[in-house]
Amino acid sequence: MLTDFEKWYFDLRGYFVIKGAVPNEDIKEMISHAESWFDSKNILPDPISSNFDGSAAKLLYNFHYVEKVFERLVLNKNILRFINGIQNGNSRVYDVLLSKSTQQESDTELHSGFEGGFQDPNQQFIIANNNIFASFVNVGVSLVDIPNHLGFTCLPGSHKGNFKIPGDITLYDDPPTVVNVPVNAGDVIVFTPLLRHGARAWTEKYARYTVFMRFIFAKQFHSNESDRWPPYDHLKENISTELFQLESRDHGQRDRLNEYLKK
Amino acid sequence: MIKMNQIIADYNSLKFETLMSEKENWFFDTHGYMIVKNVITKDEANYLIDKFESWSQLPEEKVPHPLKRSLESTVFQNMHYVDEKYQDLILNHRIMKYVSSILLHNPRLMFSSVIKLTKDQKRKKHPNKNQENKLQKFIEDGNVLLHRDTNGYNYPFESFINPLIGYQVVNGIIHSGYVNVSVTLVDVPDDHGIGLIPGSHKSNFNTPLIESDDPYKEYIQSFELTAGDAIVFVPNLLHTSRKWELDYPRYTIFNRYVFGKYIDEGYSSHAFEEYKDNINDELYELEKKNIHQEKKIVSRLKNIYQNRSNNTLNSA
Repeated sequence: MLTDFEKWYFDLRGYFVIKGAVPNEDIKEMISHAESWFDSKNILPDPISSNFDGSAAKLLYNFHYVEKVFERLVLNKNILRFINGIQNGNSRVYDVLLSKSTQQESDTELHSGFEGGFQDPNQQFIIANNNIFASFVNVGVSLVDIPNHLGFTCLPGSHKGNFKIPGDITLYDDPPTVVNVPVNAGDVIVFTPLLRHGARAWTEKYARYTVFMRFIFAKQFHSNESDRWPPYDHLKENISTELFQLESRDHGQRDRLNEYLKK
Repeated sequence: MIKMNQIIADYNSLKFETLMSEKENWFFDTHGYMIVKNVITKDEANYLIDKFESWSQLPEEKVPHPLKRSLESTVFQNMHYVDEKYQDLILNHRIMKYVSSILLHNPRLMFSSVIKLTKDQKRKKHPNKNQENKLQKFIEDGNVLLHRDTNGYNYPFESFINPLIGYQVVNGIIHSGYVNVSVTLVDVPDDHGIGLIPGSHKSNFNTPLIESDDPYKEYIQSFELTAGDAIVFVPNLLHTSRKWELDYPRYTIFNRYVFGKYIDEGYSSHAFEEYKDNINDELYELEKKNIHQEKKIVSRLKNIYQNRSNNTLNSA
């Protein structure tokens, strides 16, 4: 499902940018909703929930049960083709959140990175038969243009490290150790959470809006106890069967999703 | 109770200890190379250039043996047999610290050469005419030709670990069967010299055709170097040599070290028994296969770096 170049690049760096994956009109609509919700002074449409306590960003959840444009985003075939390509054709979305950062928020410190030893089966990155299998993948969809010196920052190759990552490496170090990944509105960054990554503090006058999604291998068990594991039966009517199946563990019931992906 | 155990060779790496720090291990493992600044001074670099030029001027019959000169006098080999400063560079402890560690303290010098490159110089031609035509066209169109150093054999997939060359890490120990060392004798701006793709030594996939508006910005790392700086890198790293466009020539010493326990693998030997008196014992031994004992240079390195590390620990 992935091209030779996509596999080579993702293996080398631990991330990949899908350029122009989301249509402009959808981006505009999502921004419009985001601006309205983040300014809503806690009066959010049900079932959207919020967490504005973080130092790096304000977060919203469950918005894809409210506005179809976000459902289209989760089901975006440009994104799902890539994710399925590294999850053996069997991905499950388990987390969708909308983040807003302004000049008031701080940076997100560098975190994660593989330092050798056993891999956590819930966060694997392995190669076999000329294919990648990553049991956990993060996706960041930028709704705004990001200047070259801001946004997603990472240590390329740190998903395959064998040694303790030096503690004095910062978000603001230079390439090749630390790189900033430039993206425009509608571009998508796919990365393994094994990659050491973070985000530089936002310094532009306009807000940074990003939709983050987490995908896991659909046949694996839940890695932890949480009250935020989809699917939610009470919200089933809000979304298409395809999305409901994409949110569910795969126990052989994903016919509609599979048909959708084949189209 | 009957016990079973295996026989262990007397000379082995079971108690191997790297001379590289944890931070150096991480950097080398992540990127596949290490920059070692100022291994020789600018004056020493100029001395080596002067020697190169003086050998270039000699009539063929006057070239001292076993120095080997290319037809256009752009490449010399075996310089260490005729000049002590070239010898010192091969044995430089700041370089050998990495080489010995990566070769599990079994280093062997495979060859030593010095290369001169001018801005109008043509690249070395491929012996196969069809291949040469393709490569020439590719480069003339402004494209970048990358390569990995091989021992003349390509495996079905690049992810195979060539037992003689391949890069691997097991339980916190780095090993590569070949280690390349490039020492520049002139200043190199950051858009010249060696270009390499960090991390490509651990690629699990065949290198695809890569298309980019600016490959040197997006993929290829090159370095601003001063005369006397060295780059230690594994041959599995995708690398290239950038076009030399400066008015002064580029002089680079290129030394390759290999794992000393292996048999010779087909390359013609660069050790010259009849000229053994021209080199010191440490270097003579470094050119030999490693049979049953630790080489002198490894003992010297351990004295320098393990003592230094112990002293640091004691003072802390």
